[in-house]
Amino acid sequence: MAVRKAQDYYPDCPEPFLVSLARAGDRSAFEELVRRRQSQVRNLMRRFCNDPVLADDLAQQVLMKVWLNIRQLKKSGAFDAWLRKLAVNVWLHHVRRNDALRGAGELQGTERPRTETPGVAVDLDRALARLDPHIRTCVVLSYNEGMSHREIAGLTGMPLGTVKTHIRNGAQRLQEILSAYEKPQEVNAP
Amino acid sequence: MMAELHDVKLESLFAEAKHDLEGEAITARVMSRTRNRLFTLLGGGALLSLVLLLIGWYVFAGPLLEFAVLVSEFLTNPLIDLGEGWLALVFLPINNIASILVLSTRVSLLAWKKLTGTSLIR
Repeated sequence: MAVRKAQDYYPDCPEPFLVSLARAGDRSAFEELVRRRQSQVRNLMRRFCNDPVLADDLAQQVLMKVWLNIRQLKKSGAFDAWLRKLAVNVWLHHVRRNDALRGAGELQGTERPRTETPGVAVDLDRALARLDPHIRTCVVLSYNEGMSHREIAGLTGMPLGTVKTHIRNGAQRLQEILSAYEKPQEVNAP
Repeated sequence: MMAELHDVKLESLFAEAKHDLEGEAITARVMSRTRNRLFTLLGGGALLSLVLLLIGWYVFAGPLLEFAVLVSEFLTNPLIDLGEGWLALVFLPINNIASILVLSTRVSLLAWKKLTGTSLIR
């Protein structure tokens, strides 16, 4: 009978155990964590930036930050919240950098090619892209991640009142934009 | 706590937009980046060590050599002046501080083993 290596059991291991191993420098455990969490991080980034290529790039940055800083994580059970925090920080850093570079010829999200994205996600991401990045961040964290207003305020550093306003206004604006998508498409005759 | 009302339509739209993305390619890319970073760190560490070694050699090689010469001269000093005849040549291997140090260490170790039954050297 072939002897199984310890790594062969990783797909069946609970996440806190994998996090503990990764904290001790086990790359195989980290690889399993990446495999499990990449979809969540990429989906979140796609909602944020409406650009699959940029979203994947940002997701890679997040996962690299996980590898570089995982020793700072005190409790293995807090991995989910910590990962989300890293993702939001990477996104907000990108937004700030983009604000500084605005008008410097950087490609906008809608100009990039999109891949393997279903219709609903495309419509939603396009609608989200029309919101201000800070409003979008609050709306995505609330609707996509199910975070409370207080948690969002803590994570983003925005005042609680601002977060509430952003979510209310953002949701209203999204409804307006997406209601147009719900109307039957008219074919433009040449 | 005030209830945080969510628009149901929007909520279901967000849920619908979430889908499992194929992860092998991105996992491979992330792992490759961690590997590259590890190699970069190791390479940088090796280079830094080499530079420090060369600087250390450049700064300390002369004084260290002088010190080594002084120590070896001190250790090979004859304990008893036997002149330069055949007697001096015969006793040369043991007529110095180094031999006395080696012999006394050897005797101490043997004595320790006799007294305690255990060896200090494993």
